[in-house]
Amino acid sequence: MHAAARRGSPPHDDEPARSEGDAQAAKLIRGGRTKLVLVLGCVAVLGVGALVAPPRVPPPVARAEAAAPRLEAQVERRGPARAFRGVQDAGRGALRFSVSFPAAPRVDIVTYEDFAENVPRSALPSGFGLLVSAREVLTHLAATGGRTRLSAQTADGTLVQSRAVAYEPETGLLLLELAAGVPEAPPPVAPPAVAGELAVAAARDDGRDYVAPVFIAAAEPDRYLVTAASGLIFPGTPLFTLDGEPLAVTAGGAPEPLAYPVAASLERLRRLVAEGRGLPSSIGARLQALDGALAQRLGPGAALVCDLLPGGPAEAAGLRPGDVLLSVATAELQGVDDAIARLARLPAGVKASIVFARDGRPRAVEVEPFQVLSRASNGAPRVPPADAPTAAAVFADEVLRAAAVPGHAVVLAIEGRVVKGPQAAKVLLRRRPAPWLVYLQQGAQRFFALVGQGA
Amino acid sequence: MNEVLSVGLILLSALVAGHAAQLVRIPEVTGYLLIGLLIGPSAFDLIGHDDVATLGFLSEVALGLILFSIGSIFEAARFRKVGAGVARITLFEAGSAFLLVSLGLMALGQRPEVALLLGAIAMETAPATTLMVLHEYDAKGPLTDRLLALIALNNMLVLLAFGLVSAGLGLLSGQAESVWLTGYRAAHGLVWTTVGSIALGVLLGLLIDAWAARAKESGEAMILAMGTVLIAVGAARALSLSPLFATLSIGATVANASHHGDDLIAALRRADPPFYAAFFVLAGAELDVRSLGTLGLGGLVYVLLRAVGKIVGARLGMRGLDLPPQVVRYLGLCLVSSSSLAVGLTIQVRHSFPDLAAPVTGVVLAAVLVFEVAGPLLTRHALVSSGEAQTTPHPLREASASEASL
Repeated sequence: MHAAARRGSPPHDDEPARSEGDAQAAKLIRGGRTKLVLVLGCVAVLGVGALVAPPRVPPPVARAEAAAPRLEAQVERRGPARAFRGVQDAGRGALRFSVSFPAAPRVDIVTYEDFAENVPRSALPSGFGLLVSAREVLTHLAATGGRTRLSAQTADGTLVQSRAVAYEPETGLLLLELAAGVPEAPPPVAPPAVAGELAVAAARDDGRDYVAPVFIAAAEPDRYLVTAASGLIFPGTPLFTLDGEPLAVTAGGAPEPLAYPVAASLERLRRLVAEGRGLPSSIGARLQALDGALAQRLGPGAALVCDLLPGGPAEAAGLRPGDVLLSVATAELQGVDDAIARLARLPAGVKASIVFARDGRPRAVEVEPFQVLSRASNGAPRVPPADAPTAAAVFADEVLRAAAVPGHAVVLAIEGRVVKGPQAAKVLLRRRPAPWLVYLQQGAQRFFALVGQGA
Repeated sequence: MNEVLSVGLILLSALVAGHAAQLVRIPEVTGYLLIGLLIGPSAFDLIGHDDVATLGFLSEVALGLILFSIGSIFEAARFRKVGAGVARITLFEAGSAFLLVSLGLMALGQRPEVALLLGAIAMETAPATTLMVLHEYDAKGPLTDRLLALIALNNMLVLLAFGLVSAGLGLLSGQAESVWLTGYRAAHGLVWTTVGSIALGVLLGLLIDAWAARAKESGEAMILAMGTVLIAVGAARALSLSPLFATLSIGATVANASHHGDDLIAALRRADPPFYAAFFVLAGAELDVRSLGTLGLGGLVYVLLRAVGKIVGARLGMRGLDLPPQVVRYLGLCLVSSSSLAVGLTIQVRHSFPDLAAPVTGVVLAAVLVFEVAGPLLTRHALVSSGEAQTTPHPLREASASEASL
């Protein structure tokens, strides 16, 4: 390039030398007046152009405040495998942001049928978790798919066996300890978020990493309500700030799941471990509140047993769905929350007496609680009997609405009698006056309801 | 890595790459691009993404200097010799690339909006890369003359075409404002970008001309020229004008208004080398080898049809013109390079049409990688085969005092 500089002009055919005057005369723009006119003309063009400019289109971020965002997510993988950049390309009038954070903190929770053979139950992870230290993963119980044999798969594909060391029943948060530490330290945790902030959920679907924006719709010190714009968030999915700092772990499973701040949750779970209460004990019974109508029907009491773990301590001791708990270990219960808390505090492996009422008559049993998550629970999900009718097939809509029972719930029993088919159910209804004590199942949950009040 | 260290690394890498390129007989610019690829995020990551973004202003400055040089081609007396023919060739080669790429992609099932945007971007020929190769090989002759003029016209045509396509898509996009306002916005944008940019360039060119007589020392001339170019780039950005048109216009105005123009251009050339080197090394660092994996069938079609459109279109445009045989045979090959303007237009697409950005960006970035490497090699081949190039190019070195024209 410097060869051309010798000639002081761009490469061109050789021209004969000219005098300075001749050179100036050959120029297109000659004379001071011409140049002045041109200068004024250019200033006028620029001035007029600026004056007649149409109003500016507001930038995309500002327009998102007025319009609901329509979002599509893309993930680009750049640079070393330990980092990837999530790019959110939005439709016109919506938000666009770019976030870069290390992939390492997010782990996939993979469950196994046979731990010894390391055969995964499914190619898809059952949920996700967040690496919070070299050997700890924060996740949600729902991410384990109800299994206890599981491993954590890190971003580079390494599979590490893990065991639960702490469980918080109120939130469902689970702290796993990895059998082997991962080499990279996770990034520092973000400070608590406030309502209205934007965060990013990082997960995997169909074998591909993806990021999805979430809004922190409401924020409390120990939990957030998040809104995902693009579909469900799997349990245990970590949320990151736009700066790539780990923020929370979601309970998942709904368009608006709860999310739990990492820092506060980790503190609580580690405290449980330190106090030797990492994994609460359980008698294998699910309880529901005994509200006014049910209490009138079943008599006074704290909590109603609505489901039992098959083969669990409660079932083995003789408890049945419909029993009303009155006291645990000689302490009178003050409501369903009190009952749950006291039962969780019972030491595993030590028998405790439980007083309950059945058909209005008090009874007592000895129950030996087990430690939650310590037993393999690889059974199939509770499926209602095939011939059990739906509530909508048995009861009228207005009756169900009054009882706050969804029509698609399955009727298992009416007044203690197992129901096989809608006709049999209606026969039972004709034999007993309303209201009826109905045992139902919705999803995996079983519960009692008093239906037909005021009918 | 801090910015100062990055710049030092870029310059020294360019030095090594320039000499290495000469050894293996490839254009310097290819050497710069490859070394940029090596030290950039795609390979050794010595210059990271953040560094590339921070040092982007160096690329803008370099591009302004390059376009100023190209603008000086539009000196009236010289341009009259090649003008009409070049205008026709430009229309044919750019038009062929646009039509082939747009129709080819639409035939492949690509959305018409994406195909049209890619067609407009495909029209572009890289000014910086081509000029660099011309200077490196000290090329001169009818092929070189027409090539420079063609590139200048080509870039102007690309901006016009892209502006028209964007305006049309904007009108059809059904935004929540009146058709008249959308149309007016599009028309104003198009006219403002061209006429306003030219007005800014002419204004600055005349101002620089008024001062040029006072610039007796070469250093002063260099400061004057460089300062004006930087002001043009900055002002164009601030006023939403086109830095490309503005700096081209400065060069053209200086070439046509003052006999001091040659002196200013020569003085500016002395400051060029580090900016040029940094420009191409950064351009290489921005290339992502992994983007080749996303090229896909659409990308392959884009690359092939663009190259065919350029070469064949140039041939068609030269029909009936009385041109030297080396021009007819080799001009098309020199038009294959594609780089910064294409990348700049994809950024425009991301701002204006974010839902179309992904397919456009994916194809263009991968194609730029191909053309950045192949283009200079083809240009070198054309210059050497046509006899207009020195076969032993000079690597970067200071012009000696006796060679100075001031």
